[in-house]
Amino acid sequence: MHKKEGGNKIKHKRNKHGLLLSKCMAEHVNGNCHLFRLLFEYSPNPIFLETLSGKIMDCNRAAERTLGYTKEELLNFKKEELLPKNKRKFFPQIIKKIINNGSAVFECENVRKDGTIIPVEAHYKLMHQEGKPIVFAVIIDISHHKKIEDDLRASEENFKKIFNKSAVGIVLVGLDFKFLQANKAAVDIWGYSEKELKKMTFVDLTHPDEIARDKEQIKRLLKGEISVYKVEKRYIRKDGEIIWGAVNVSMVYSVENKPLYFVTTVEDITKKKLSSEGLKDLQIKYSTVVEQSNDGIIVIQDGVVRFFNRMMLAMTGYSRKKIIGKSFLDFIAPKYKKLVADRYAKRLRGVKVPSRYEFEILSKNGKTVPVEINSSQIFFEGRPAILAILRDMTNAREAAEALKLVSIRQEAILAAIPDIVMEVDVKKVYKWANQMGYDFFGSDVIGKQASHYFIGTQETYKIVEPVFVGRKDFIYVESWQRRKDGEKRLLAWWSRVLKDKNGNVTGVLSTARDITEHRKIEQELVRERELYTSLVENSNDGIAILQDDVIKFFNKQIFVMIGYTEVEAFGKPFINFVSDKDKKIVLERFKSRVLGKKVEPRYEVELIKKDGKVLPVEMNASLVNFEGRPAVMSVIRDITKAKEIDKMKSEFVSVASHQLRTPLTGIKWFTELLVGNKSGELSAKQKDYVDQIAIGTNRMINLVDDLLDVSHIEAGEKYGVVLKKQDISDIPKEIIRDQSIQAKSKKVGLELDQDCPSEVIIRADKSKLAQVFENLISNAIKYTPSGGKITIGCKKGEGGVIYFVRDNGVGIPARQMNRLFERFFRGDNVMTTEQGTGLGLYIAKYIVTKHGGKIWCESVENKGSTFYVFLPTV
Amino acid sequence: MSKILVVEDDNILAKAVNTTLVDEGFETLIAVDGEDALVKAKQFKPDLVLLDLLMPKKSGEEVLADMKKDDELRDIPVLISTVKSDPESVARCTALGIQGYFIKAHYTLDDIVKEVNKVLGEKKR
Repeated sequence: MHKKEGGNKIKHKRNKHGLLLSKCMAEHVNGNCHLFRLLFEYSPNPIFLETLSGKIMDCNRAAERTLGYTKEELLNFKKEELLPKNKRKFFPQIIKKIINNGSAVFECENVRKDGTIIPVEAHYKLMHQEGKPIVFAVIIDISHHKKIEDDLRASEENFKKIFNKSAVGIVLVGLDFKFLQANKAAVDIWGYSEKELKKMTFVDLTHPDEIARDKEQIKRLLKGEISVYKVEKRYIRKDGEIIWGAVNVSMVYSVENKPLYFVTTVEDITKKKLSSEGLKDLQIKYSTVVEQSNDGIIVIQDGVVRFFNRMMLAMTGYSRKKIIGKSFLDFIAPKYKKLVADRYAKRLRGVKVPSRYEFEILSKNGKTVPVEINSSQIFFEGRPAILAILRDMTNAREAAEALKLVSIRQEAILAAIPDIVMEVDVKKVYKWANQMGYDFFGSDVIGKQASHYFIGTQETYKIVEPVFVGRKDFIYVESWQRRKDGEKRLLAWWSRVLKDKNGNVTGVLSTARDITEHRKIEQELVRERELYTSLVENSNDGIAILQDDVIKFFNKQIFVMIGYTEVEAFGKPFINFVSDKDKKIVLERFKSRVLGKKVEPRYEVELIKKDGKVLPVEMNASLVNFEGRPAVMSVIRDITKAKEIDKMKSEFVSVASHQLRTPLTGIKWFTELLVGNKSGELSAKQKDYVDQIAIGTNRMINLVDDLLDVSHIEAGEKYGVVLKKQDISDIPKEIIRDQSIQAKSKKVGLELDQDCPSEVIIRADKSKLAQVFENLISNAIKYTPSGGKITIGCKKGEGGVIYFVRDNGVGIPARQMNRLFERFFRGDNVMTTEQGTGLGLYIAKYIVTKHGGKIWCESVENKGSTFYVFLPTV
Repeated sequence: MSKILVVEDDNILAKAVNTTLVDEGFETLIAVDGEDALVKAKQFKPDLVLLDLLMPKKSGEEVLADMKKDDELRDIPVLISTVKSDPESVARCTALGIQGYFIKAHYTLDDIVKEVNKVLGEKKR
């Protein structure tokens, strides 16, 4: 039945549609005219016969169906008119290739009558009909394959977009901390190329101070204790510059839940804004074609193979003989036999079944070949048959598998990116979201208008408009958004334009980070800073921070106080501003304080003002942490006025006391004259009254003496305690002798302890120490009721002697113990019953302290008190 | 009978001291300020001066200093009787040369009489 090309003369014949049946077609199939007419007409793919100039001479039903034109319309077309306008210029090249090679395969687009464009694969074959060249064209609608390809591309692109176009640096870091991959932003941030980065670990980039903490946190991440490690940290750029990055690190796990690598995002917050330069539009062009189409064609009738083409041989590996006349089921993989047989039977009965589906055929070597079948019912030799076009899907399968693998990996990365990633189309409708995006907006976010999630009136659309119209590539915007739980959150968006290969804006890809807490903290900080600034700057005290011997900070008040300007004071050694006499003590105290030693915080010094005048101040210094290192904060109070007032007060007290002494002396002396009977005998009553006057006068004299002492102590002068090495053991004895009359009159026992050492040699001012004992013993007599007992004792202690004055009197209320040695202090329990100035213990403490000693008291109310005086021995 | 010059600007105190010293059998003369004291010291030629410090015209310290510069007055024993109790005043007077220092109100008239007798007794010897 196959005859050789050449000698045959097949006539041109018009079929019932009045269409040309190509002679060459007939020649090609060796006269099997009817079969080829059927194949031609029922092929699921459009087939054209056309001249070299592109005039369509004939076409099949599939051509009508696929392109939406009637045959008549198509026959008036030039083939190139089916191409989109911008592609027509390539038509002459196609023809040239066909002429040169005899055949050609192109992937292009055809325009349907309704204007829609379909991707097609066009197979051309040059033939000759009556000596004239003619082009046989089979058009395969590859929308379906395009879709897989597009999905792959989209998925790949999504990842690439996020990875490469992200304004935030993204790196994949291996478990050995080595960089596996870095995006452009990361390269820009650190200044190292990706190639250089791949030889480094994150430790090489990290500021030395941060490494330990990072490692610790990453350990926790590896253990799964934390899901994300967020930190703001310092890096050292390649150029040595220190930069700050806001960093999020998370783990990517394998399907088996084993940690694979880290995904780290880094935002350069050194300048808090991203440079819009340097990020080039990295349109990635994919030229991947998933597969080259070469379809097998087979006709099945009565369950057996009636026709097949060469491609089928290639696909199955069988010889012609092995196929023809055999049951088609023999060539189908066992697990699909039932499905295919079932559909075959149904189709023959006219039941609607999917015309396009996939299964596997068996090849000669026993391997299965996945195929996609596109079948339709035809009439073959006058009886129904099935025309099946089989496409080897091996490559497509592999591509799909690859896509799946890539997708898993990419999904894992996207899911692990701890930022929200969203894509909107030009209408600002959400098209795509990563897991964080879904987590934030909810699982129904896709398809929603972005503004659906806005809270309050927002300028967001206005701000991002330049990106949507393609005027800007990148915009940063902050906006309040509603989270899926209804909560109001502030998101920081990095929005980047997406363009197709023709440069048209297709949407915007945005990375977002929830900065609500961050902003709150920022506002808190600003508020706190304002508060502190206002406190510090409006303080009436000078405040200075001193570090490394220099002035690191001064508030306004200090300038007012000392008259220097900021420029004159900052960074200068602070000691320059201290008077010569105080330099030593200020430096010593500063050094001790910085070393953490306990130093009296409050002391008075003199500063030197710019005009050279002396400024008396009270310093209140404390150890603080300034810029991470110890420093001293000094609160400096101008005490010029206080000093003046103190001086005036002391002077007043001094003058008043002196003036009081004169009339008091007059009363004392004339009383003495009265008592001494120099002016005649007094009656018993008169004598008693005069005695009372004498007692009152003496009290007043004591009070004046105490006041004078205090005024001298406070003036810091005239109350010199002059220490001289001497024996003081006789002092208590003398005081006891002096006070014994008083003790006796109150019927209080007063004795010296037997164990007192006979000699106590210390450096002392005897008259002042006598005053201490006088005060302590007279107090004890005063506050011990009749019948009580007072013991004065002394024992040697470590480094000195301890004297004690013990009574069993009224004692001191526990709550008042801590105020015992204050000026004018008087116990609540004696305030109204006993006379006193409240100055005795204050003066005693001053004197003891000047001796380098200590004074303290143990007391139980209503049981008695013991006062101790420790004096260091020579 | 020993002569005592009582230098005291306060009438009341002068009266109390004077009364006491006269009762004790001394011959006394009262001077009411520093200048008066120096004039009377030259005329009266006392055996002892009881000298106040805070006085009009010339302070007690100045009087003491002038006396020590004056050949006639230099050897007259001086007892200070004053309200000033600061160590500096005591030190300055002691340096110029005194026989005793009383802080008024701290001492009784009896104490003063005893001290006067003591100083004069030493002088006789």
